[in-house]
Amino acid sequence: MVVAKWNKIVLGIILLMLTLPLLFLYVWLIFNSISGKPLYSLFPDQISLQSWIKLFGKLPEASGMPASVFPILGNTVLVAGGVMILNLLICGLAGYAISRLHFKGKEMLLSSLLVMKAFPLLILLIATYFVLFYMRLLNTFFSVILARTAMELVMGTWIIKGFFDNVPKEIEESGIIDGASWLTLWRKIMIPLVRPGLFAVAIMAFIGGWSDFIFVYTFIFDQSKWTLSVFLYSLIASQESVDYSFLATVSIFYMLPTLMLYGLAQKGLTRGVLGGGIK
Amino acid sequence: MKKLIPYFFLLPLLLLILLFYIIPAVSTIYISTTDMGRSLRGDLVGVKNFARMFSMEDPVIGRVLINTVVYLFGALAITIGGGLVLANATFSLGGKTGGFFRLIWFLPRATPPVVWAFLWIWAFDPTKFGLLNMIFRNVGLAERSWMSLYPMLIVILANGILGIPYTMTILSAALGNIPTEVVEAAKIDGASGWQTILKIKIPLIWWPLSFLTIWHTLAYLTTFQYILMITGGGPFYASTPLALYTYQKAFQNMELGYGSALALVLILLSVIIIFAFRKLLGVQRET
Repeated sequence: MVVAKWNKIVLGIILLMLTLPLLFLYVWLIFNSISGKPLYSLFPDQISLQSWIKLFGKLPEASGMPASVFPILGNTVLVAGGVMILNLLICGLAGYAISRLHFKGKEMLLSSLLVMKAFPLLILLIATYFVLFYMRLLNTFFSVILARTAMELVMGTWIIKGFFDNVPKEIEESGIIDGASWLTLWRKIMIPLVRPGLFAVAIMAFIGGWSDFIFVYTFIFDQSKWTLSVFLYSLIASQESVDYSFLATVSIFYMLPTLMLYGLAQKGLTRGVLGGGIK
Repeated sequence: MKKLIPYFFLLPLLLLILLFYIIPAVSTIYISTTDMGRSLRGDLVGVKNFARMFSMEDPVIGRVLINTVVYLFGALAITIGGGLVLANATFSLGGKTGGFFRLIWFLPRATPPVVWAFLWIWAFDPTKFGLLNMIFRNVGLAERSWMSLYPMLIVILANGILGIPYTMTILSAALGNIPTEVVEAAKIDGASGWQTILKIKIPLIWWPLSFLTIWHTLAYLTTFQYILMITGGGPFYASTPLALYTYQKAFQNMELGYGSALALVLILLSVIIIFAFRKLLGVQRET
């Protein structure tokens, strides 16, 4: 018993040594953002909200940089919101059909979805760029929203299908007897029953759109259409005066919503994944 | 009419699959046989792009291929090994302490890619503001320009560690599913801690372990955005694997034709891996 306890303490210490560097990265991020100037030492010698004031006021002047963070924030919300709404619609519709309706080619669709789940979409980036060019969608928010939705929808459809699978058949049948049309049946009876699944899909899609970097970076050319990810990257890459306190502040500002959503989603996601049939 | 109803529900999904999977996959094959450049119009050149690749006409491709292998196995070792160690350790600790460590190790997953890349750029910044240089200075060592000294090591660490939260979560769940009697019985029979892990636990979580390995093989073979942000592949291709090289050729040199030929190699590799391990990846349906 004593040995077991010592074992645990040693294990805890090893784990702590492995975890501290990671934890410290995040702590130092906070320290830098609240010290108002880049740190030379482990701990801040002053507390100042200077960097936060800078972020919400007029941004530091540098060539090719926007003047205010708010339009960029707006763009990011637009992209994330667009991905979320489009995903909810597509997965809600398709998940229902795959779970409940009979149609030709269902087997093929199911096996293709399974392959797509493992297929890394990013290797099609060049051809996607080419396709978007011919659709005249390059340099529009649509390009990013659609591409990102395509990336998220396989998992989403799978999760929603799992939730529909768990709805008892009788509920649907009672709706049919009541004479509801198929669209009403879907919208008024079925959709409310899979709300936890939709919630999980919505959050995953929003986070996906919010964090997207490579699509915005590749498909968007105008600075006025930047999202926070490309804004932060441009700040890091710009050679003029790297102010780590300011960069840390932008990072925290950009990261907070995803952290909160992850916290919020933990329950929904776990249930979603379990119900979604990852076997 | 009634027969068409399912397709109404499926239409948006099918449309996006067509636009972002099928058409791009076919287009890749087409573009790879052209000399497409900035104008996005190209003439057919047959297998010239592939000849350029395989005849080593491209002076850096050999290096890129070696990088791909080093990067793949390096990141894989960290993701799988790290996940295994952390899952085992947090599981043995159990309770709130284990949960606390798991929470911290979940952070990378909840961090947007650009912020994650930023943390690494910052940690290894060659100036006095870099985290590692700050620590080195405080213990009396000389500052170094880490990014040019160890670019490959840095991108391997950044990507490998990012995979840990996922492997840790899945392996913890798998460890939790092992009946306690099995482990107890082994202990009573006199198995040491290491023996229990190697002979009992690992065989029992073999399935999720292989799934995670194949899954991350696909991921590390094809993703490049963290390397693009952290080192940009440099200095002079020192940290450029094939996936990033594809992106550089297509979007930095605007050689979309050659880029697509390189991408096609990756696509074929991925498809082969998916089908070779389709059972493991859950691609084959149990009917």
